[in-house]
Amino acid sequence: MSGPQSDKDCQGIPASQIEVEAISWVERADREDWGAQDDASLAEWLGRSTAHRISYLRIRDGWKRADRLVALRGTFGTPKENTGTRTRRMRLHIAAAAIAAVSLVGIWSVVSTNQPQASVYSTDLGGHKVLTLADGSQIELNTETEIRTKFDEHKRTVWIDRGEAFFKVVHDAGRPFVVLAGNHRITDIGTKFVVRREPDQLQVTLVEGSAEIDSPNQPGSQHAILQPGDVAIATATAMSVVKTTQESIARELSWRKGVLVFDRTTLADAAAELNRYNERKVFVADSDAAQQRIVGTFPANNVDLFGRVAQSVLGLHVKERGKNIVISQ
Amino acid sequence: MADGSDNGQSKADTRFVGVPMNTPSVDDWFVREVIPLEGLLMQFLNRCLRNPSDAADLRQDVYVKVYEAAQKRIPDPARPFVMTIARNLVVDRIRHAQVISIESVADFEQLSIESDEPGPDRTAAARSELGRLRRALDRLPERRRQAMILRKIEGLSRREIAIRMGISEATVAEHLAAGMSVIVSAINGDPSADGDVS
Repeated sequence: MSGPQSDKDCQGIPASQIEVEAISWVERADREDWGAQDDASLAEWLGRSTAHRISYLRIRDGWKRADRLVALRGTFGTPKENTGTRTRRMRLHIAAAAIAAVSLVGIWSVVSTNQPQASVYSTDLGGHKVLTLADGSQIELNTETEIRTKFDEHKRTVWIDRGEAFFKVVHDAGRPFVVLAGNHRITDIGTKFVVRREPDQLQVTLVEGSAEIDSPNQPGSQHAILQPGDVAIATATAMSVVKTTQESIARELSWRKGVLVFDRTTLADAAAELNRYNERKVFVADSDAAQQRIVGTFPANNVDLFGRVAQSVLGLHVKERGKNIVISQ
Repeated sequence: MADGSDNGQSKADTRFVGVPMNTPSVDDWFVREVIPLEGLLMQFLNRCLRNPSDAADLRQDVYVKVYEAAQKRIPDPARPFVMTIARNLVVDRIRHAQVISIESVADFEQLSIESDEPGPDRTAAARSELGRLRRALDRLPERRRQAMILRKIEGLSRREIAIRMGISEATVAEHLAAGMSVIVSAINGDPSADGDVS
């Protein structure tokens, strides 16, 4: 009998490793030259642990059910030729689309050169807006954000007065794209980047391309050329640049999809992030609760779900206080 | 040797006659009632854990617990039992790791609603099964797919495949092993095997 003692033998052994062995047994049993000796060896292997047995049953059953693949007999053609043609045709489509896109951008540039504009765009708490500008550049506004734009034939200028925005800039060497945030200036060199303005600091994350950041009104201040993955943090008096990972950038941009992604984020930081988007605030009452860490993707507007997570999984206390919620140990 | 204990319903069954099974009734129950839940189970585990190899490890833990419980008494119906064990193991793991996953909680809520509903319609399941198999085969690397087709559709032996493809028998075995792993997950409706993971 496969006794319970067997259980412990396999604890911590990856399923994939057991599966490799189970597959090899099933594959061999599926062959003609299977003898009594094999029966005995298989019985011994199966008896060694329940994990072996369930893995074997699973593979054997699935492999047996895959017999119905014979229904697909004759439906497999000569894939090499087919994919070759398809790829070539697809490339032609892409090329045609690219040409169309380029001429479209060309037209828009001409239009916008003739029509200088100065406009204000903003979002409320929890808001999210995607703007496509006359030059084809896109600006995506996160919660509680306000920007102004002014385009003329020499320059494209955007002021970010508060909040956070993602920029996808169509490069034009003759007409630089400049983002101004307080004393700081970001000059695009063909790029995608995020600017987050907070009362005491400015954070610029470069996603693609390249951009320059400086503070033109402060004599002797620092400046930096940002490369993809660079995060610049500028305060009134100092600036630092650090490298970050692709995953971290993807997390930082998750608001564009209406979600927040936490990766071992402390409850305190997660609550602060959530509070940027909602009227209903989350307060973390004590430091023990604040230090708990969470992982996961979370709708930016679902405060109740956040509370339920803290309660049911972390075992924390969640209380309503007015329209807000308070989480404590 | 518990030979012929599974009634030899099809030709495929008879190939496995002679394989010793200590507890045929639990084995049968496991294959009949638990494995068909794998699609649902993996959907749940993949969403909670995000890392596919973690999900496969946890599936193993779930199956071991379910099987060992069934050796004492076979739970009926199987579905809420299996999903409760899955849920508890996920919670254990989360507590142990000192992190919580928001998806898991959202899923738990959904799970408690779902668990009373009947299982998926068998006919619809059978129809989509062939589609899943086809997609899984199409996604295999060329050589692996070729080996799988020769084995499962053309019915060739390992040696015949080796000759046909001009490779060693050991390499054929490798191709088949890798292909089998994918095919079994696909036929069981594991969303990650079907390329469906959001």
